[in-house]
Amino acid sequence: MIEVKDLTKRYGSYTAVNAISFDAKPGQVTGFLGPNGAGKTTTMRMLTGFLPPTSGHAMVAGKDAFDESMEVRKAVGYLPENVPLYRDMTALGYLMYMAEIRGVPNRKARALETLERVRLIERANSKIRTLSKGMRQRVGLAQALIHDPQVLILDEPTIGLDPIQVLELRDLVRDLGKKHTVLFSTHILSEAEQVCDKVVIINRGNIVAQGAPAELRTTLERGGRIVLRTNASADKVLPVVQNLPAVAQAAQSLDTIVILPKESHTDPRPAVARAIVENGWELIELRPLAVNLEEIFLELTRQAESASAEPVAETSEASS
Amino acid sequence: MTTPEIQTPNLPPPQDQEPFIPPFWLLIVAIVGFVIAFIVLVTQPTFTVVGWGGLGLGLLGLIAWALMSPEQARNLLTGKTARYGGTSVIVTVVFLAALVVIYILIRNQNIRADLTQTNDFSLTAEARAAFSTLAADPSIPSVRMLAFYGQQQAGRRDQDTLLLEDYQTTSNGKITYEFIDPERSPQLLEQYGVTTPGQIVVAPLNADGTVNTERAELVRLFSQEELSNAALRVMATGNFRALFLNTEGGLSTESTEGDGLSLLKASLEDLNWTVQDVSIFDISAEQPTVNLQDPAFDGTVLVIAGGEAALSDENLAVITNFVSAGGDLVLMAAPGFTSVPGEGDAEATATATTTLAAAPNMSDFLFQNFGLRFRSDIILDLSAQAGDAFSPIALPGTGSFVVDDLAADNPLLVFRFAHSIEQAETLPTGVSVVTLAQTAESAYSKSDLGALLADPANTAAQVETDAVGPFTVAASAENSSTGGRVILIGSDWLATNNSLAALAGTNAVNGEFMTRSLQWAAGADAFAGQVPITTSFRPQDTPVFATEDVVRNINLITVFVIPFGVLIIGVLVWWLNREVRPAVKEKVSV
Amino acid sequence: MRQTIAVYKRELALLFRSPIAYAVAFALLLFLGVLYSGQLSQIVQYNQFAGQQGAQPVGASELNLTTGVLVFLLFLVGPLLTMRLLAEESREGTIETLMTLPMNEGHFIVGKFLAVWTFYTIVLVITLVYHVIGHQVGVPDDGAAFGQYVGAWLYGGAVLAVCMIWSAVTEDQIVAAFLSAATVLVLYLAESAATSLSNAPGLSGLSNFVRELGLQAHYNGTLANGIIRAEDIAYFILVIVGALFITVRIVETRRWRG
Repeated sequence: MIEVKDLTKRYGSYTAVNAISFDAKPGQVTGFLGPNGAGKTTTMRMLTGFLPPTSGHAMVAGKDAFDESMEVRKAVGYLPENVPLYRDMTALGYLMYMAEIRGVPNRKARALETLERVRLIERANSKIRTLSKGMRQRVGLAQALIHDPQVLILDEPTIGLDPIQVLELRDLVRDLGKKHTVLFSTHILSEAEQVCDKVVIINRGNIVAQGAPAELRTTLERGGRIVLRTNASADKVLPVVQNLPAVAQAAQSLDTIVILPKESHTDPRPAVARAIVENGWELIELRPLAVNLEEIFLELTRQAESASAEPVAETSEASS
Repeated sequence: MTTPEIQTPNLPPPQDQEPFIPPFWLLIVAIVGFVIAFIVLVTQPTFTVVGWGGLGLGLLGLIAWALMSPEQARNLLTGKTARYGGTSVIVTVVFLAALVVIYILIRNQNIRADLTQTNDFSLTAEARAAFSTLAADPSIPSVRMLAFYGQQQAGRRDQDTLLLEDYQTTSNGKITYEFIDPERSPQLLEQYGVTTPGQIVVAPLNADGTVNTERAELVRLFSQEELSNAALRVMATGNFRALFLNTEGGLSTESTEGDGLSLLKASLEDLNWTVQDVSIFDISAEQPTVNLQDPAFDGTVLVIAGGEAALSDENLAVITNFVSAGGDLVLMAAPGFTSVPGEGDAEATATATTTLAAAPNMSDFLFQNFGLRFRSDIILDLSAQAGDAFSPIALPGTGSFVVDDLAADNPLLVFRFAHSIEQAETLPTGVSVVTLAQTAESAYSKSDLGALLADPANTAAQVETDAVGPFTVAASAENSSTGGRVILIGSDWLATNNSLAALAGTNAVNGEFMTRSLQWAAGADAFAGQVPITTSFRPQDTPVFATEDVVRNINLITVFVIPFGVLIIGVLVWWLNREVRPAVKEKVSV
Repeated sequence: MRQTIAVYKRELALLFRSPIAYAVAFALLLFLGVLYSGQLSQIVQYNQFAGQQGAQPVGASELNLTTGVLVFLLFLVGPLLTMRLLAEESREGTIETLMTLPMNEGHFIVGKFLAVWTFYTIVLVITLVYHVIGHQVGVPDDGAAFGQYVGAWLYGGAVLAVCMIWSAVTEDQIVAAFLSAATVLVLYLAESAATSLSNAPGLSGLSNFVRELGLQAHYNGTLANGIIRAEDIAYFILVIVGALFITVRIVETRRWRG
């Protein structure tokens, strides 16, 4: 229920989000994945009506996020990055306040129900300032859920939590995804892989890939390079491999050989294995170069950078 | 999306080029125009050519802009992009300009009201009555009030406008006002003798509408009483004169001593009266230096204040002739004794003298012609008295211009060494008499002045033979056929400097009673603007009074109870709002 | 409307729980109380001697310092009450939540403004005690007092609205408070500035303009004396409207400043 078309945000000459298009369907958790500064938060702010886009459209819950901002805001629950809360209110008081502004009927019952849902009911009357980081995150989530929105937009909800809290929160988000349209941003790949039904990878304001995590992996594996390691020297192995019909090119890389398959052919791995064995060498390793999202992500972001011929971005954090 | 796609990054689209001479500039031109118009409106007394030019420029700029880029105009109005960027600034400026315009429109309505209970900034009922009557008379000149207020007096100007406006509306435009910046018009300052800013000149207007600078009056401090009376004076018609006859032991208007009448003279002169002391020779000689019948005056009243010897019959004849011919006389009786200051600690001794007013020849004349005469007595009052038994308090009567509408609440008169007045059972034909003042019933009178003076301590007490009050102590009589008016006042102390000074600020109306008596006698009551307006006592002037206990309690409440009460509530609230975790948990689990 | 009321209720409750509001009210009432009782004692004493020496005794309408001093002290009170309002929301980031709720900036800014104005009104109502005390010791002019209080009330609203602008501009409460105090002082002193301007030749027009721009010209001479003028009432209301409008615009800039 989120449809983004050519959405662009520029600050002066700096382009924070560059004509991105994607969608997120109801009953799914859509992961918005990218390194810090990729434009995730900017995009989410545009979706929630906080920022107007420079150009392009974003339809949220069937309404234009900018032209019908009020309607969109009613349909969206938003947890901003860093979870801003009024620290001198109680969790219950805060939720009731939000419920009142949103015009939720039965706001006390509703607030308690939401607190139950985020498993915070026992701290309902505690001042937010006395709550732990994880609890605050859940208060923020409760705030986003208080009016039972069609669309939930969560900006890095797991940041700063301890591992157990992260697991809990991921469960909660997955759970929410069954009923709501959830757009969930993170820079942690494993998280996206675990939680999301669909992943949109964004870097430097551009979408570099999108699809289901599994699909992304298969595609990359099918068209991707293969790493070969044998006990023989590369000088001997290279000519053999290069002559195989399924192989377009092969090159030595340290003690391994990287094979680029021909696109028309099927997976070259059986042929390569056979050739190695036939020559009497021992096959130590034969695998696709990219096997998990982490590597896909690295690969993709690297490609994107070289393609746009811009200085290499700091991505080490993203791969952690 | 079933097939994942690997996208190459899009290049940023080329920067938008705005290929026009920006209509935006027209908007700025329009704003500049409006700003000019606004500045002219605010700063100039009139909306000059520059102001109209600015307004025209603004409107033209606005229209041209709207024509050149209708889209921008529409956006500005519909408010979508109105919120962002430079447009936001422009919208804000336009909005603020609209607020200023609203303010100016409201300001030009001049809507204002005086909320004070005492109507400090509106005319009193007396003044309102006086000025609305005067406004109806076309023979009375219009008046201009010129307030010399500079920027320093801007606050006062805002305030005083209310009262000045009230003069203007009450008088139906007969009284107008104008503020003059003294810094801009130094020549006017000199012309009217204005010494410092904040003074007001009240001047009548000539028939051609120019200011009559000769009769202008300067009011040094803005006060309704002063302004009203200045306006009355310059509007007043009629020309009156009081002649005080020099007699042996009589009082003089020239004297500023305690027994002088200089204060009375000053207040009469404030009413534009001519006041002078005359000798009997001045008015009786073949070629009198003072002509009693001077046609330049609309009224002349002869005043005999005191006098310790009877007038010779010859001199009396001058007066009786004057009165019989319709002349007006005010007669104030001297006590009938002279006080001789004692040497050292010795007490003053008193010697009995004749009282001019009660002397037989005067008495006979008055009794025969007006049915009134003074008795040769002295009134004492042990209860209704001011200070001692010789100072009886009398209450004003009713039914005469002299005593109706006296300014004070519960007005009273204080007499001293007063003679009572006897009225004939049957008045001479054509004569009508009004009692102007009467003592209390507790008053009594002694006629044996000799015995009283010899041993006042033992003889002052009331005895059975004493006549008892109430006594008439002031009365007026008018002969309708001659038009002659006479007023008899039982004590010459009534309007002396001593009396007026001692009674200032009380509800005794001796001074006003005296001037009104003279005005009635001279016939001034029939002329416009002759009656001064006095401010009456307001309940709000009740002096602040509190006993020490009350002051202590008030200090306690204002300095301790209220502030520290608030502080304590604050501390309590803070205490109750502390985080008490276990308690909260229990509460929720229930 | 609903949103405005919700924000109003929260801010008001917060004010009544915040130590700073009580501290401000305490300091203000203590100062005014000392001033009032001092003036009263002085007048009572003066009146005792006035009777003896023939001087004119003083009536209760002279016991009128309260509102005049109060509106002067607003240059301290206003910033202290308003500095938090928007600066804190910006610093804590909660403004992002507010700006993505289904309400526009005007809703919560008006709500916040009304809350501080209500708090000020309550303090003002407490000072009515002085007027009641005036009735115990003399006869104060109720009409004039009405003007004074209506004036002081509107004056306070205008000052609080102006202070809110600075709270929206900066995230730093201290900076907001200082800038607000300076602005209010300038508006307070505009009348004096106008007076000194008028001494320069040819500047009388500008001088009038500066005077009417200031707060005192609309209170001191008129409302403080029980004169109600449409333009003074309009001035205060328009200042409130204008200042809130500017505040809304400034908060909105967060949407496009980045």
